[in-house]
Amino acid sequence: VTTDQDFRDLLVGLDDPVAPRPEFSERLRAELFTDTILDQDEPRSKPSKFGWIAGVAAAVIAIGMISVLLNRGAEPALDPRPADEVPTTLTVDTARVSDACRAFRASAFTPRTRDELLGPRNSEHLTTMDAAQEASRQLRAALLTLSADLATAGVRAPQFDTELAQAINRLDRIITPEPEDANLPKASWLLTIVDQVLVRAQTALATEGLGACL
Amino acid sequence: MSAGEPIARLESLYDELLPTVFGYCRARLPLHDAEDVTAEVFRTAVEHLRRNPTTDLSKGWFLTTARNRIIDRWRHEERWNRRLIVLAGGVDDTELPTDHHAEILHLLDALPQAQRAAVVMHYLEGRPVKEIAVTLERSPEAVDSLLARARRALQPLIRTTLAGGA
Repeated sequence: VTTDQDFRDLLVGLDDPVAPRPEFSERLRAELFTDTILDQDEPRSKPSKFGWIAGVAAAVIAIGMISVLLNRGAEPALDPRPADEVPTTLTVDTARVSDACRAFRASAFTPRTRDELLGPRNSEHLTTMDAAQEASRQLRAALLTLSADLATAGVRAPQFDTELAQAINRLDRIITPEPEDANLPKASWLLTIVDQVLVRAQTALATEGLGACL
Repeated sequence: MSAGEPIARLESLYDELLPTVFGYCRARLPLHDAEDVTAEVFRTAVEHLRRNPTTDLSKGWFLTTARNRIIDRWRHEERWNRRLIVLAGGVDDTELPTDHHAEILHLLDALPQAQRAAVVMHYLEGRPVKEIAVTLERSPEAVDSLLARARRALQPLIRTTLAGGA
């Protein structure tokens, strides 16, 4: 007859420190500290203080970072605007930012709401893996369009770009999943993680002086 | 203090903190979920230090953050179970048992998430059934039932362990 003590003995020390897979450890280290160092190297002043060169550079950085960080580049990552659309003024085009945000909110989650897709009870609204993948594809496309539109509007927010790449990475895990991710509960959970990442992305925009967008 | 200093300090502690956080997560979640939650905890730490450079994040902060996220995960899974959706996949076969702990983890990975959560909280963390019920948003009777089913699943390993004199 086994007792509770037998089970306690069986599990004792089970959560002691243990090294994760080296590839995981190194990938996370690079993500956390390389991105952080890059971010610290960039001046964190308002976008309006940059000249037109910085405006163009911001667009290139935003597009480049996402392109590099996307690890499943089977499809075109971004649809960059023609060069003559890149602002050449010192300021962020707030009207354009508002339009970009409005367009994102109109296209990212429809026909669901954000909470229905990304909230803790999203499992009540996503009934098949196909539905989760389709919604993920739609959100991914909307995020990429938003990124390009914000860059075109003169927004320069490296932290936002980093968070956006994180969100897209999670969406890619749903769209083209590894075997261990290819199930609806996991997809649903990953979408809740996307929600947390988008909250951080919104915070990053707020840090740059921009209002609610995502 | 600039935001860079505490983050640089975190990087210097990364090799020590990572196994602690991952070990905590791995006992409670399958491999890939444990990696996801571990990564989320460290991302949160970096973000926190960016905004609050004077904060010193302790090991306790990391484990508390990990615990909160694990509970979110357990509860999320639980909502699926309530809808009686048959979960595809589930058993993580990317790790083969190589020692006693790996063997236990392998068995725990095969348990439904709610059973694993109940077992870990009750036998590893020593939490009472009532507290587990609140955490998992279930009744105490349901937690008793989870524990009973988990004990049945783990019984063969217990017998092996007892027979081996471990």
